[in-house]
Amino acid sequence: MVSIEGVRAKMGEFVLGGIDLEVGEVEYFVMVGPTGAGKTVLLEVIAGLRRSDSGRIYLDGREITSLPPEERGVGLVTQHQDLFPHMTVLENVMYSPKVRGMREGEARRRAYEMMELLGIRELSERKPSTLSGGERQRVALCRALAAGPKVLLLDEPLSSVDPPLRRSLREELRRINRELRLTVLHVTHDREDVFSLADRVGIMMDGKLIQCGRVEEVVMHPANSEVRELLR
Amino acid sequence: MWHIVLLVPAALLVFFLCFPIVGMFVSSEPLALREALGDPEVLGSVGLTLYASGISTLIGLITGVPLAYILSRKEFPLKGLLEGAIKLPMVVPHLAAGVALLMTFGRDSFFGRVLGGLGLKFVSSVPGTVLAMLFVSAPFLVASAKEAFDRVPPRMEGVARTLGASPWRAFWTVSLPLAWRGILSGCLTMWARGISEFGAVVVLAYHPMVASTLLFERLEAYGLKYAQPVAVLLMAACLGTFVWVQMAAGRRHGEH
Repeated sequence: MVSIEGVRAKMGEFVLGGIDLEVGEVEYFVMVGPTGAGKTVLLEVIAGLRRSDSGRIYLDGREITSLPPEERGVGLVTQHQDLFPHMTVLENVMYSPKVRGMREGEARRRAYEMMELLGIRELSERKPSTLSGGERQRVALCRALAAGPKVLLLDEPLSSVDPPLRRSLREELRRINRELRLTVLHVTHDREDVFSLADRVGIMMDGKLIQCGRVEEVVMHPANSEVRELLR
Repeated sequence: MWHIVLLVPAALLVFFLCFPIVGMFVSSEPLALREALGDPEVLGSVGLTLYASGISTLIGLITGVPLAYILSRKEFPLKGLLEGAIKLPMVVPHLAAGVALLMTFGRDSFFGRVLGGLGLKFVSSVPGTVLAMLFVSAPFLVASAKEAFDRVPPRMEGVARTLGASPWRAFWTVSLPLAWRGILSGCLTMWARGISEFGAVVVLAYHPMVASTLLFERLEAYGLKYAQPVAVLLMAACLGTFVWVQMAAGRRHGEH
C-alpha cells in the first residue's frame, strides 16, 4: 500500500501539491490529467528521483520519503521505456537481479521467468533498437517486474504503442496486477485507460489532485466541468 | 550545375588538407628515412612525444571524465563561468600558455617550490612536457566527454536507480558505457593535440626535446631536408596509433 501525505515539490514555476493519496494493496489506481498536470513529477517523487519539499511517503507502513531510489522497493516504467541500448533484452531484464547481488545463473533464471510471464522469451538476444513499440513496452515492464517491486509506477505506458496493440497491453497490465498481487499507480492522459483498467481513479490538474474515487462515482459526480470534460 | 557548385570548393579543401601530408610522405627519401630510424635522437624524441602525450591523456581521462559528468548533470552557481574558464586554454596563444605555466610552476613560483621539494620539477623535464600538453589539450577531452554524457538521458540513470543500482553503479553500468565512444574520441583528440603541441612545451620544457622541438631545431639549423624525416616518422607513428585505436573501437562497437 502506498500512502502520500501532503507531498509538495516545486520546480521553477511549477508547483506540485500538496498531494494526499492512498493506493491500496493490489489496487490498480489510474491517475488521469492533461499534459503538464504534474503526473510524471508525482511518480518521480514517489520513486525517489525527485526530492519533495515537504510531506511524507509510506510504502506498506514504512516511511520512504528520504530513502534513495534503490532502497524504496518501487518499480518505474517511464513513458520512453528507457531500455539500456547497449544491452540485450535478457541483459536488461537481468540488470536488477544482478545489481541486487544475485549470482549470474540465478539472475538469468529470474529474468527468464519474468520473460515467460510476459511472453517475450524469444526476444532475449535482441537489442532494444530492433524492437517494436509494443515489444519495447513489454521489455520495460518485464525489467521493472524482475526487480520484485512492491508497487509499480507506470508513466503513460501505452502512449508509444499503436492503438490496436493497446487493448492487449491493457489486458496484460491487468493480469500482472492480479497474478503478482501488485499495487499499480498508472498515470495517463487517455480516458480509455481509466475505463479499462482502474479500480479507482484520480484526477490531476495544475499540480493538484482535484478528485479521487471509484470510476463510476467520479464519472457520475465530477468535481467540476473540467473533470467532466476529461472523462467524457 | 548545383553539384558542381558544391563539389568544386569541397574538392579544393580536400586537396588543400591532404596534399601537403601525402606529398611529404611521397617525396621523402628512403635513405634519409632509414637514417632517421637509426638516429637515437629522433627515435628518442618521437618516443618521448608519444609517451608524454599518452600520460597527459591518461591524467586528462582520470580528471576530465568526472568533470565532464558534473558539468553535464549538475546545476550550480557560476557554472557558465566555469565552463568558459575550462575552454580558455583552447583560445590563448600557446606560447602565452607556456609563459603562464612557467610563472605558475617555474622554480621560483609557489607550486614550483612546493612540488620541487617533493622531487617534482617541471622546467626542462618530462613532467613539464606532460604538464604543457595537459594544459593545452585537456579542454578537448572535457568538451567531448561532456557532449557524450549530454546525449545519455538522465532518466536512464534514474531507471537504473529504481532497479537497485547505486549512483556509482548506475554511472559505471549505464552512463559510462553509453558515453564511451565520445570519451574515446575526446582521448584521441587530446592525445593528437598533445603530440602536435610546440608553443607551451618549448617555453616550459625545451629539453628533453619532443619531436616538434627537434623538428623546429633541425629546420632552423640544417634546413628542410633534415627536418622532413622527423616529420614523416612522427606522422606515421600518430597515424598508425590513430588507425589502431579506431579499429579497436569499431570492433568493440560491433560486439554491441
